[in-house]
Amino acid sequence: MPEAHEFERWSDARAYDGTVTILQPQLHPLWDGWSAHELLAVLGGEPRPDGYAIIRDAWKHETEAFWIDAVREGVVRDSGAPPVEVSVMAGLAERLPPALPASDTLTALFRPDPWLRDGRYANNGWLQELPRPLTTLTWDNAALMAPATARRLGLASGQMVELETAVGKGRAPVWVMQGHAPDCVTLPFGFGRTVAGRIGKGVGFDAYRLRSTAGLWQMPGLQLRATGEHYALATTQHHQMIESDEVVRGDTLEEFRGNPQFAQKPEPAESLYPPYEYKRNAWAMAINLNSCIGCNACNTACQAENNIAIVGKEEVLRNRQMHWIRIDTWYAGEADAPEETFFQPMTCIHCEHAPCEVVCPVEATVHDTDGLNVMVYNRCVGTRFCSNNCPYKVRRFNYFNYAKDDPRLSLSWNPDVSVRARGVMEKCTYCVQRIRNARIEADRDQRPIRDGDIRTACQQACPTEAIVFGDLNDPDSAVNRRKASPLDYGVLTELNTRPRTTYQARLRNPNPEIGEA
Amino acid sequence: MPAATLTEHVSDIVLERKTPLWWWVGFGFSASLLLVFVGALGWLFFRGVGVWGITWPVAWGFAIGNYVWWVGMASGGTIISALFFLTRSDWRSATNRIAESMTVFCVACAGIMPIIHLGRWWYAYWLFPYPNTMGTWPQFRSPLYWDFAAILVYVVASVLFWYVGLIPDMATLRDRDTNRWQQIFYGILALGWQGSSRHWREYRATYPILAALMAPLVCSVHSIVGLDFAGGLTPGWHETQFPPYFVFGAVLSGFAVVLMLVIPIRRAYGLQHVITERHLDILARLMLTTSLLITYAYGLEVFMPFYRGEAHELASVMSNLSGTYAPWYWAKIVLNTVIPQLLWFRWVRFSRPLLFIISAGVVIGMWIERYVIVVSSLHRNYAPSSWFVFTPTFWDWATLAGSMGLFLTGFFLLLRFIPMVSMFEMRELAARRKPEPAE
Amino acid sequence: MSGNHSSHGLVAEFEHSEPMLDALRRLREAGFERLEVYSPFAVEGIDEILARRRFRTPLVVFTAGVVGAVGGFFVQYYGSAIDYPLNIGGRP
Repeated sequence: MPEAHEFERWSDARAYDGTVTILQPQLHPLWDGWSAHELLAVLGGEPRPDGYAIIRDAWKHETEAFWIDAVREGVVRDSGAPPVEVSVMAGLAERLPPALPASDTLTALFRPDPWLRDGRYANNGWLQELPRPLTTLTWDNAALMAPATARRLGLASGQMVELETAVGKGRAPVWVMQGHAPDCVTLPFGFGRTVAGRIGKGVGFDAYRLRSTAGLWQMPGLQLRATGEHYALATTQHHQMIESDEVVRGDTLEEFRGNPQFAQKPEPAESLYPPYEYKRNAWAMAINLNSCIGCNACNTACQAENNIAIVGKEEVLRNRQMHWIRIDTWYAGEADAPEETFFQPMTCIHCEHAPCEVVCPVEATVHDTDGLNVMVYNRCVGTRFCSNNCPYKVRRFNYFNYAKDDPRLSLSWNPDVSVRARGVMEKCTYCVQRIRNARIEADRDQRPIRDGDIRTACQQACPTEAIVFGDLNDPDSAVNRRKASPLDYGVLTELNTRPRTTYQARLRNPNPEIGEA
Repeated sequence: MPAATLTEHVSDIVLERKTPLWWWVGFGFSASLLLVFVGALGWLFFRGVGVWGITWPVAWGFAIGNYVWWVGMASGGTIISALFFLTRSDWRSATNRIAESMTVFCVACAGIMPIIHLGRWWYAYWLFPYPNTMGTWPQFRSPLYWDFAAILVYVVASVLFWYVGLIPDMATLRDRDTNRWQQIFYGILALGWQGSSRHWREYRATYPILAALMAPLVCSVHSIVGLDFAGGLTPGWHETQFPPYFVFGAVLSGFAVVLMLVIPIRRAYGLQHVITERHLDILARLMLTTSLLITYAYGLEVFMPFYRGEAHELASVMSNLSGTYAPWYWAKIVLNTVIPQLLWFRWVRFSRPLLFIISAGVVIGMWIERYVIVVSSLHRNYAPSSWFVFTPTFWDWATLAGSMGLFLTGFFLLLRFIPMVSMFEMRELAARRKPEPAE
Repeated sequence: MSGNHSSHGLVAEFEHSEPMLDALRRLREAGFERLEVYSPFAVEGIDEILARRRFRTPLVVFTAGVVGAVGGFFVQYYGSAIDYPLNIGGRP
């Protein structure tokens, strides 16, 4: 029984503030679908349901004039709920449930998987392969627990355990997650579907078996038994502790006030060669580490825009995922109890002195006049020296024919971007197709490209506007304003790469009353 | 041994004697390894370079290690043939045919590796600077391009050098042969050599020139192979000592392979009075010398990062000494540095089984050295979020074993059809040493 | 030598090289021009006795080497700086 699309049915809804809106269809159902109201009516005994009649009937307590106005305008004015005066109830502290004492029992915490949610997106390959925040797990869910808990139970990441709650049993692999609360185990649901389509079927374990309405989000008394089996979990980042302050820089506001230049380190400025002049545009990017929340929206946007193929769990286990932008999650402090988490999006830095360009024997990666490090797919013979020589490791190689093996509809590829063949290297291009389109329009209108005309896919998707792309040659551009900050630094500049993408260091302002937290 | 009987003996091996059983066994084994090679390559071409264990960030694995290993072993042959010709070392004449033949096939195996490891190997010819419709040229600043040029020159020069040195012996075989087809075969290969003074004149003009080209070629080719790595900025690769380091290692493995070939061949063909214990002694001493050289290089490799104190280089060195690949690293130290020190003792140098085992250990140790260089620097690099351990797949091992099959098959064929001792050079030695008997 | 056909030449076989060199010298002094020696290995001294021209091969090789070196540098210069100059890592 096909469900009628939202544009094909009558319905009503309330906005977040209570405002009523009547939904009317744009077209007759294309596939003879029914709306949810019609289905319920049939189940209630009505043989021939009429969506319009049902909704009109629901509003029959209002006048005909009201109905006509509501349908014509779309919203019913002033139907929002009025604000209500509230105050905190007295004696609240006594009414709260007692904090669970640290004990031998584990509490199961049920959370929706960040990408698959309740499981509805299990058949979406992009979301399956998108690394989960913090754990960077792909293609699987795992029972997440704190290092101290794992040690107590004698478990390590990848070991299969049998889980049992009051409601049911299941098996899951364990993942040791730094910063997780002790004595509880997070069980993400949304996986383990048996009927989900080709991609989603049988991926991960089903946490719904262990869950009931008695403890929808947490359930004490979780039993956990090691089985001794090992399960391979595919993650995209294997080293998350901060080794030095070269890649990620951050400090407290206090320190910054005392030393505003803390993020600046001496960089080499000499070169044997005369500097190259970028006369027209000089594209650059600025990424604010204070804004990045690690949501990975940029990752998916890039995948959509640039025809990046998914590679499947086996290949992710071999670390061959193809994401052009990756969110590196860094922990500062002790491995057991990290104090701070940093998220750093890393794309091709488009170095002005790109080490990758120098070592390609066939001129497959060169620099264009706008300062972009361009990748010429049809010239690449696949020596992979560029990937070895990239200090940021942002290059991805097509070890197999990933694009051909990717089970997507052929019409779903972005026609502005080439699909890469087997044996070819690829990497972030600063969305060069968008740059070209903007340039064509600007040339046609005989004007320079305005700041903000070009938004890269990652910039467009970022909800916190952490990523800004623009022209260095434009003194008023947003990217220049970002780079003027004393927090602005380049990663690994001591290698004389002259990066075009720079980061703004993270500032923390911890409340001294809470302590370092 | 008197010159005439030497010629008889060596040419008889090729012409008269029935092919011995051990040859058939060896050839069969090599041919089956060659089949493995063909199979591995076929699967590689069909599926893609991902059938190997290479990944992100370790984008180079066995193939490049194999390539450096083979090209290193080839150099030993060239040093014996070319360099010791220029120094007028007489002892070289007994072993130089074996050494050069080994070089030819090692270089063939070496040349195949960089081509098959390409993602799109069918475009490998783009590395050649020819005017094309794309208007592009190769990127000359890249060490890989220098590598391509160097290997091309090395292949051509090695084959030429080997062949020119072979011509007088081909003529000998043609003249001694009784079978018509064999006569034609060797006759074609002999290019009409008559041994006239005119021919010898041209020969004596050409051969030293080739030798004078080949001897520095070994150093330059291996320096360029070293620059393949030193030209990259990865910590652990970016060392200025890599060109001589690789030359030392190459020559060490080359001498080891020559020993590994010479010891069984002299036994199997009864050439003990041609390739005498003194020859083995000299080769063993050469191996010891180069082992000391490479020990120095290994020492510098560890010392310099500590001297400089740069964090990433230090991390790379520590990862080698005590990280994931530490067992491989220490195995290489033991096999290349520690065990060859036994060669200080005369009784070890004169014990053929021990020599063989030590040489085999060096050959394996040199492969491990190249593997560690390629993989361990890449897996711990400047971007900690990319650190990942390389694990080889079955196809990696199959390709390695298969390349050995290619080498062995070729060498066995040469053993059967080409005289394994340079007869005319030995004759010359014998004549010069009269009335003393030649050694 | 038989009396019926004219002799095309005379072949002499020697066991060692010194008597052969001796004979060669005497033949040369006697005025014979078209002399050739066939030996199983290169024998020193024949070329001097027969007063042969200097080798040309080394000169050819040297010239080829120089041409090759110049050509190689030229190809690189032409390809990188004249025909299709590209910005490779900031290097001209």
